[in-house]
Amino acid sequence: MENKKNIKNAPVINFKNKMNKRGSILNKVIVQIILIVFILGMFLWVTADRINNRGVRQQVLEKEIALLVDSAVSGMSFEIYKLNVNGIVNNIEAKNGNIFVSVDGLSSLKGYSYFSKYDVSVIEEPNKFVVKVE
Amino acid sequence: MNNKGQSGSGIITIYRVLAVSAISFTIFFLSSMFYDYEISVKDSEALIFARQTVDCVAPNGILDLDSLRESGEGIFAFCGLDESESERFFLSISVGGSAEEIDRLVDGDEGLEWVQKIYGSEFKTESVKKYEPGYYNGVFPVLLKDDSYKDVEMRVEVIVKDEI
Repeated sequence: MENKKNIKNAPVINFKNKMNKRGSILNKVIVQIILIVFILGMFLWVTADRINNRGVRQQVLEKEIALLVDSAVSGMSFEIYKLNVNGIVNNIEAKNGNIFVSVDGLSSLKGYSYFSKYDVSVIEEPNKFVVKVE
Repeated sequence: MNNKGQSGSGIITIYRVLAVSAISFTIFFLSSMFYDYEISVKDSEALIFARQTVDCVAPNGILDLDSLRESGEGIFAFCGLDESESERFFLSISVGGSAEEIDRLVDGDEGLEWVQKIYGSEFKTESVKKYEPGYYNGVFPVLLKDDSYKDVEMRVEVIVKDEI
């Protein structure tokens, strides 16, 4: 009697087993894909941040200002706004023949050298720094 | 699949995730170590330096070699540059007409000429490319102040050392 029952229900059971197996595999594949995409996304985000980091922006600002000072003549001045496309400029200094720029909290240790026969000074104003060549 | 198979499959999934993570972090750290993004402005510095020197040595386009010699200073000091500001530069000014060289003025580290020649030769390799000095070579027509004014050319060559 039981065997007859089992035989009668066999196609349904087999169908259910097949469906569970396929659903299970699909479930695992989706989970794995999501995990891998998440990890690779994190990797790309961190790498992009590394490439576009504060050090590069600091370098850009220091070298741009140094070149401006190199080509300036007496009486010229340059304004660098604190809210800059390269980040928030915390400080700009001109000392010992070098330009130092602090960007987004990153201090400058090395700076970039400039050459000028004039005196170069930096004045801080509420929303900008003014580099004067006199 | 039975329960033991499912737990095994879960362990394999964790292993795959860890392997992908480990590979990603390894690539990231290796690239961070070797990724050195340097913006080189040395050629621009050489060009600006050349123009500033020409403006200093030949103001208004008139070159007076006698006053330059009488000062007894090098060109850098004559133009008001400190030693700390000019230590990275080599300057060569060759004054001449179409046929001959009248005079040659040189100041700075002459070893940079030798370095520049190496970078211009077949011995330059990719590993040292980022240390290549900045270079500018240009001709400026000026009037030479002598007994009379003579049209001459100033061939200015500037080499800028890499900052290390």
